[in-house]
Amino acid sequence: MQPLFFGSTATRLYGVHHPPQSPLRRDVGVLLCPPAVQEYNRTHWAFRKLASLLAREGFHVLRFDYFGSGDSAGEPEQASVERWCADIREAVCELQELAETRRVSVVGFRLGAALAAMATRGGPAVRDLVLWEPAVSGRLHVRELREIQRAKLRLTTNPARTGSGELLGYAFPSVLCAGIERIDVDQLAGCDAERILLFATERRTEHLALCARLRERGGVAVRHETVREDASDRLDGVLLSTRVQQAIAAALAETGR
Amino acid sequence: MSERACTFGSQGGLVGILCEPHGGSAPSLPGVLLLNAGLDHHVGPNRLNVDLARHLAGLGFTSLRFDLSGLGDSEPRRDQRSDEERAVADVAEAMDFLGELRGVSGFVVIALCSGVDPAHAVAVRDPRVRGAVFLNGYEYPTVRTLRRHRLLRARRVLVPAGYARVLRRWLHRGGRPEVGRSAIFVRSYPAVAQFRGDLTAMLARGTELLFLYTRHHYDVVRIGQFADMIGEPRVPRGIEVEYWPGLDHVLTPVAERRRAVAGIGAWALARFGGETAADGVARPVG
Repeated sequence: MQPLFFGSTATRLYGVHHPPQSPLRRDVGVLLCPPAVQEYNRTHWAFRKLASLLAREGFHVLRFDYFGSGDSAGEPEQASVERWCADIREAVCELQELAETRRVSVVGFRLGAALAAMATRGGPAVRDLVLWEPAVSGRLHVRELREIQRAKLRLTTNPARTGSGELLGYAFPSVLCAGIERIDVDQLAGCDAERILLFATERRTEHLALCARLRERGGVAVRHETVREDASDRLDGVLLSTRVQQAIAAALAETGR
Repeated sequence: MSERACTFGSQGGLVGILCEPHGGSAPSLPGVLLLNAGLDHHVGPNRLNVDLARHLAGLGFTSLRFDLSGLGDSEPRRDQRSDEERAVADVAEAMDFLGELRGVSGFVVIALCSGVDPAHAVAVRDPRVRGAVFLNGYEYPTVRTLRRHRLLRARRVLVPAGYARVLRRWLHRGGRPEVGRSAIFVRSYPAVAQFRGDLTAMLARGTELLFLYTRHHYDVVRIGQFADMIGEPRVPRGIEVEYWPGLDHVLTPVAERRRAVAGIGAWALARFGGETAADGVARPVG
């Protein structure tokens, strides 16, 4: 595991490269795209686990932080959907150099899945695009996050005052909010990859709609897999269990030689 | 300010980010170590450690925000030490690393919540620690605390807004009884006599200490309560105590968190930086 910074000086991004941990060294790199805002913090451990599973399958793996988040340069106020999609493309280039291959697959979780799908449109050639619990409707995603914020406040005695331009502990600029709210099934259906795999813990209407659109479009293999989790809390259940992560690693290992 | 990703430690498995001012720090300034809060990785809750590191670099301080072994991006250690021994060894190795890399000989440790456990242990044991910032660290009930608890309990039942809140929470749980705190959230504090002894030892060595408490830390609402807690008529010289009622436990509100970060920077400058030049960079006195 090698931590590193990459990209231009002013917009340097933090990443961690997991080289293959198997005698079988695959000629494919896997880029992991985290969700954003507070979900970034909550998913760090799950992403580290997924990276280790994939490295054990013989892949080069790169996980990274978007501009204005985690250890990367910039402030959350400077973030935008366009910037983060550009970050994904930059991370793909970095992974291609680290793994010394042009063949890259991309895995994104929640908002990270939506960003990954949009970044592949007219972008780098992607072998497998894994959409893990994708946020298909940006408007719904923002509403969910705001509801979590409200619920946290409700459950706290004398809650601390939070500003209107912030969300769950992070500045949430209007440009970023508007960009996320514009995400919809049309934008995601424009993604470009040889194979698209959607993993979720339950069948959701928005996921079915996205898969239907992708199949209508044609020219791409689409797989929608439901991996049930035991935990009652949907997000934490997904993150603490390794069931979905093992399913993702196994699916990528099917073809990634 | 420049940042660099590092791996270090006797087993090479610790991962951290070195953050330093352009041109480096003055040699007499202590290096700053930012520790994990609970199971959060080195970025810290709400990116607190990143904000602190970058702010402190602007004031002339070099810092290392890193993951203790087995947390965040760091590998687990191969030896079989207790949690505390492991964390203390990790922090000592972070000091060794900064010392070898940049010639730093004194350190300030900054930690939040359960991160305070290793920070406190290291600050007591290692003479290289010149300062420590304990965010929502140890607290012990006092007479004033108990009085406040009684008042809050009465308000919950007697004041309509308080009663409504209790009802709302009950309804939110669907009428089910409140679930007890999971064992994972329970920490054992040192006995209060031990804590007092540790403070005395640190102060005798000239260690500067900053204790910051946020809302919901009812045991320390007023500065005087801290003095009560350690059985002193007033807070001893060398210890500074602050209470921020506008912040929750993990410093969620952005503007308040930034004020807190600036406050920690101001404390560091006042205690170690000497004077600040026009460019905002600390220049040591003497």
